[in-house]
Amino acid sequence: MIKVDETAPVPIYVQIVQGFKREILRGVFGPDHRLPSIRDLAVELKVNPNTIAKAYQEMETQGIIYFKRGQGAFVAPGTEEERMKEARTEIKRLFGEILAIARSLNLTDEQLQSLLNDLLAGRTHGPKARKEA
Amino acid sequence: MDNTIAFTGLTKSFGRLPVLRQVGTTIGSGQVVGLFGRNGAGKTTLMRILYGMIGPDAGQASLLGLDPQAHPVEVRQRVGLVSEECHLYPWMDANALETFLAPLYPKWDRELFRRHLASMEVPPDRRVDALSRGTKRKLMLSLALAAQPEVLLLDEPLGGLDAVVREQIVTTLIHSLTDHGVTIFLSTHEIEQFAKVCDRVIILSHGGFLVDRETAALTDQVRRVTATLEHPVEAVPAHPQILSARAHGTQVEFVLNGFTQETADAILANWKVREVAVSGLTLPEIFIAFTAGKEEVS
Amino acid sequence: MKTLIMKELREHALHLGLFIAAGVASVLMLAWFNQFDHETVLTLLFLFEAPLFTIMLGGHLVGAEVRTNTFPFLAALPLSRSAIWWGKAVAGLAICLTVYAAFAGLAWTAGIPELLLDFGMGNQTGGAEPWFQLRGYPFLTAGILLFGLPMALFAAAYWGTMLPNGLPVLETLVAVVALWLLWSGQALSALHLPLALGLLTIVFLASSWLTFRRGELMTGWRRAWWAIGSLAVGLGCAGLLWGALDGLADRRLPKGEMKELRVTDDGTSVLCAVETQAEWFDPLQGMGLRPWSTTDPDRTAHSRLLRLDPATGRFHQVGRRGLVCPEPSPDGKTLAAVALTSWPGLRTTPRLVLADPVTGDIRRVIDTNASPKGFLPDGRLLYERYVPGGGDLITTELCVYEPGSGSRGLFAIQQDRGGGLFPLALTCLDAVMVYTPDRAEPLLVALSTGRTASLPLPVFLHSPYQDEKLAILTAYNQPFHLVRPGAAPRVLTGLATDTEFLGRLPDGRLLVVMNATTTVDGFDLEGRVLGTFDADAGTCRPLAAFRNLRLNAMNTSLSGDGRTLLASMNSPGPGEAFLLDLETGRRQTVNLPTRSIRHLQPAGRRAFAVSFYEDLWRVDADTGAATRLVAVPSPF
Repeated sequence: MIKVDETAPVPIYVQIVQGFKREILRGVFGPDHRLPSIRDLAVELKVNPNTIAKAYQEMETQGIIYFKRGQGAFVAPGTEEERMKEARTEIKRLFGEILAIARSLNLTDEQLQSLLNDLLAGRTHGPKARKEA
Repeated sequence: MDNTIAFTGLTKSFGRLPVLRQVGTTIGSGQVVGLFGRNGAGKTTLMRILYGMIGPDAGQASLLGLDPQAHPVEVRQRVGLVSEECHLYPWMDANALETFLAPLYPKWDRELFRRHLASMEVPPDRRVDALSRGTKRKLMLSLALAAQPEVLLLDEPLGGLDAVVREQIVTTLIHSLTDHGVTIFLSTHEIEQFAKVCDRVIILSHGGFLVDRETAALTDQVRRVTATLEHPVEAVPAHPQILSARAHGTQVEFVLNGFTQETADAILANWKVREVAVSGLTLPEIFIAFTAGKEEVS
Repeated sequence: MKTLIMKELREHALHLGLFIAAGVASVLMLAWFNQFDHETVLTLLFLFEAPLFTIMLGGHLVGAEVRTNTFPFLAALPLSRSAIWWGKAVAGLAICLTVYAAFAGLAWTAGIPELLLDFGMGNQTGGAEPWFQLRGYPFLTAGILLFGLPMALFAAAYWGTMLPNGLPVLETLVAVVALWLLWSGQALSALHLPLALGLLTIVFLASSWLTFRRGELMTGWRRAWWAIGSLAVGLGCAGLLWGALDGLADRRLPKGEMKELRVTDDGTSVLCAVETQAEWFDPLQGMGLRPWSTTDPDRTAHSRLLRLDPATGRFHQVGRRGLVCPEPSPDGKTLAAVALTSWPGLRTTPRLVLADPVTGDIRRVIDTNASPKGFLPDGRLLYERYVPGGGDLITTELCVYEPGSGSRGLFAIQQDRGGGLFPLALTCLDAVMVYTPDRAEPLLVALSTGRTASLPLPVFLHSPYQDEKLAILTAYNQPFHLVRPGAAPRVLTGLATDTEFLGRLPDGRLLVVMNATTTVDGFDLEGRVLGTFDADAGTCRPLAAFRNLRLNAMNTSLSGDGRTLLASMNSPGPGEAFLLDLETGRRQTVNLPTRSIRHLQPAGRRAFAVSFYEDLWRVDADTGAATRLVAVPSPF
């Protein structure tokens, strides 16, 4: 579900947009799925409805959703490709942050690579594999 | 943007103590604006001036197009005020307060009042002096909302309350935003409570508005630059956009107001840089960056 | 605003209950201690408890709001400041007047035979003595107590809350005690209480309203300066208004009743003591003057002295109103009188003064609480002084004032509720004859020594004639008594009681009009003729030169120099009034109106004053011309 962290250094509306994007990527909201109304979401998240409206506006601009007059906001049907492209962009961004942190901790690229390989290995083999690694 | 709340050049001094110096801004209908300032910055004074309870030394204020000192009755019928201190008559209960106040407001809605009392768990027949602080505050909010105001002025509405009560109050405010489109101008010195609720942030410090910006823009435009240098440095050179800076050995860190890459690069050009990282700040951190190191006189 | 009034009433209902309960409890306590008489009950309730409660309530209305910090709530309501002020004032007044009414009901149980419900204008109904005449305390009417006083106290206390932190309790109590002391003194008797209380109330209310309306919250010394400043300005304006009303009332001469008409000098000047009705706005409305037996109580009436200006023929007021009991000096240059007022608009203790006879300017204050009894021929002034003792006792003292030496007391007695000594100066004895209620005979007080001696005479005699050589004394239907220095008083049994003493002729003989029987053509005719009085013999003898002159049923008067006689029938037809030259015997007709003559008297040395019931005339002794001086009794 969409969650908003007011202590994060990210604008609320950006968090909402990101939250929706994630849910759409995961398939929780399928194409033409109706988004909650601004009012309901504002009440649920305890967020200013103007901010919700702004987030919706931003998503519409990015083409993630579309509005139908009198009926609300809906997830725009997009190709699998577009979704994947966005997922990749997102992961790349996250990787970038991890990289920066690693560098600041004076980790070498090789150490980082090794860590990544361990994680990937553990992931394919599940919890048991992790214990072994 | 219309002038639901508008004031210019407001100046107020108490004795020789200047509290407000030529402050002004405009707030449109439906907006939620948070006024942040340290204790003693003058937030309550500004609220009182807007509500017509005291007069400014200079400048004008207008609420819904009316001068609050010239038309106090009409302004207060359409603008609600909830302050941190409870000034309600201790011997009254919610019912008595309704009997007393309802005739004063043409748009008083008895049903709405009861609903708010119920949703916020305020007992209608208990005396005010038997209520906890949180319940008193919720009662005051219910009274203010029952009059169906177009504007709400809230002076430290969540001050000193526990988490449950805060949640109830914020929920009620969100409801009034969605259901009644009320314009809210609130003041606080606890910024993180309202990050989700305010469209816009005004920071009051030393009598002036340091910041008057949309919340999202503020979060966007204030960034922290952390850099690791080749050689240690003593201090970061001054720059008009640097809000705060720290230098520790080979690490420098400074907070930029109105971050652009060019500005950051220009400052970093002073040294030989090994690593640079740019991160965002939480609203409390932004607030501290703007106001730390400047003691308010109270 | 109605909702605010209801809220105030609900908020202070407890006060109302407590005050009334306190009143009931204190009355019950009085009953327990057997002090349940209406005097004590009323003093306790109305002069102590009710004012205290009123002050507490008035102070509590705003002060409590400030102290319990509920004032910001009130200030933030959609109510104008004026509405808040009015709401509290109306509710507060309603409560305190309810308390007063309840107390009046309580007091009624103590039994007041006649509750005088006049409203402070000084009229008294019936003859009953008001309960509040307590041991010399000033007059206070029920109207003032029930309305004026509580309103003024409430207004003052309400004003006091405009100061920071409201009105502290200690100062409130001090104010009540001070008020109580003021009433114990005579200070309030100087004021027209209803007018003063009304003005004070308005000033306090206006000042508190002005201060309350300002946008500041109820803190800060700036507010106090505003309250005190506007109060000072308001009191100044009230004082100016008071003075203006006083001046206006002084200049107006509404119709009045003439009390006394005196002809001074040779009849061209007439002094008139008039009692005029005080106007409703007059600050000198009679309040708080204890009626002395010999001075005008002056409640709703004022005394004025008027003087006829011979040049213009119009009356002018002599001095300020409140000049009573005028006594012109023998030389006409001074006037002794009692001044009841001082300037502006304040009553004072009655003062005996010497004043200018034309302008009324007070030249000298001789004594207080005194009234003049007449000048002696040598210019000394005889007067009575009244000193209140305990309770209703008054000491009346006979004094004499000598220009240049001051006053001297001669003789004093103590009387219940006063009464006076009725002094009669006897110049031939250089003494004063006084009457005291405990004696059957008058007392003779020597002017130079103050020594007293009893006089073997009946009481309450007047003197139809006296000079330096002798004094004739009589009373209605009494024989004449002759008093001469160096001899005991003598009853003149041989003298008819209707003998008139006219005055001394130039040769020193005392002229009289006497009964005589003359024989004309063999018939004995009773008639009134001119004669002279023999002091040694104690009898009268007709004047030979005028034995044929009949003066039956005529008014007569001898001119000041003793040379001319004026005689007139009561309603003189043509020729029935004439002047008679006593040396030559020549007669001259005088044309007087054919109306009833009240009185004939000499005016100066060569003129006469003729008083009719409607007017006053002057007859010149040389020319015989009769001129009308002034119409009486409405000379306006």
